[in-house]
Amino acid sequence: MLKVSKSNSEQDLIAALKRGEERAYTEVLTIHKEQIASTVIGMLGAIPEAEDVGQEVFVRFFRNIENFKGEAKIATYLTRIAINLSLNELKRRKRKWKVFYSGDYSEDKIQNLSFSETKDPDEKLDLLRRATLLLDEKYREVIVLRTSQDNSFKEIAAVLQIPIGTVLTRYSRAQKKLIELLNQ
Amino acid sequence: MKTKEQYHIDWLSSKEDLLCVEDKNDLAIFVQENPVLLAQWQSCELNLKLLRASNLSFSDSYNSQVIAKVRTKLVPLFDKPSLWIASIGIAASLLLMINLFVEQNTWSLEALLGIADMDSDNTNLLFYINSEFNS
Repeated sequence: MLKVSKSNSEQDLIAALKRGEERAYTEVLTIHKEQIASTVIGMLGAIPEAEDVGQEVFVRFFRNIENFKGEAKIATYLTRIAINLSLNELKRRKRKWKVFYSGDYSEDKIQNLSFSETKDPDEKLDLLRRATLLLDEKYREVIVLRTSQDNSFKEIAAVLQIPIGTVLTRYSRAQKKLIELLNQ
Repeated sequence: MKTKEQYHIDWLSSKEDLLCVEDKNDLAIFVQENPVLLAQWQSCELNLKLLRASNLSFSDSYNSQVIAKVRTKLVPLFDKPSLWIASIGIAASLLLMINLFVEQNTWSLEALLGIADMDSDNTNLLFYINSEFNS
């Protein structure tokens, strides 16, 4: 669930951020770091660049705090930045792959995802993560938002700024694709 | 006639009370008739709960690195003094241009370069400048 409701305490926190209080920076980082980590790592995988992207999320938020009108919750806003920066990083990686390799890197599929035969939960989790990374970005983002933060479909729609019907369709198709990948 | 995907979407919606009564009843009939499909949907949701339970985190130095980056002041490409200098330079060159046009009494490119009165007998710029000073 997206943490921190848009309460007085959040308004106070925003005001403190605008005053440049370091205590407020630390508080926002403490509250939202885990959520941003699960979003960025979920989107990109556990790669070294993920932490840089994660840092950039907060740096952008803090530097542009003067423009933050408080229309959305901090959590929603940060998650939106995290998704956008992750998508940018994925595009950058795709371009890099295109320069060095003639083929499409997404075709570099993981073979033998024998999910049903696997009993070990850690191994299952690893297979699930690898399968998620094979999904198309628009499906991956809904799976990541739904699973890593336990967001409701309404919250996912707010983060991605798309209709709830689209979120549901993408989530359903993502699940179908995951079943295909894990049972191939 | 709804597709399987539509029923799946309805089933997902029903978990968050996003479904109207009519669709709820329709879904109830469908899942009763398709227990294998329902089991597949439930199994997929259950497996995705594994992802929910997993902890992904950044390094311990993450907070301090973010704060250090935020504290690093951005160096603007054009600060105030350099803008002043650039403005004065542009104003001075405009004045020089006007002066050249007025002095040579013409609005040509040659006038801009200060060589409007050069002719075939006098193609040397230095000579031209000297003669201008001597006259």
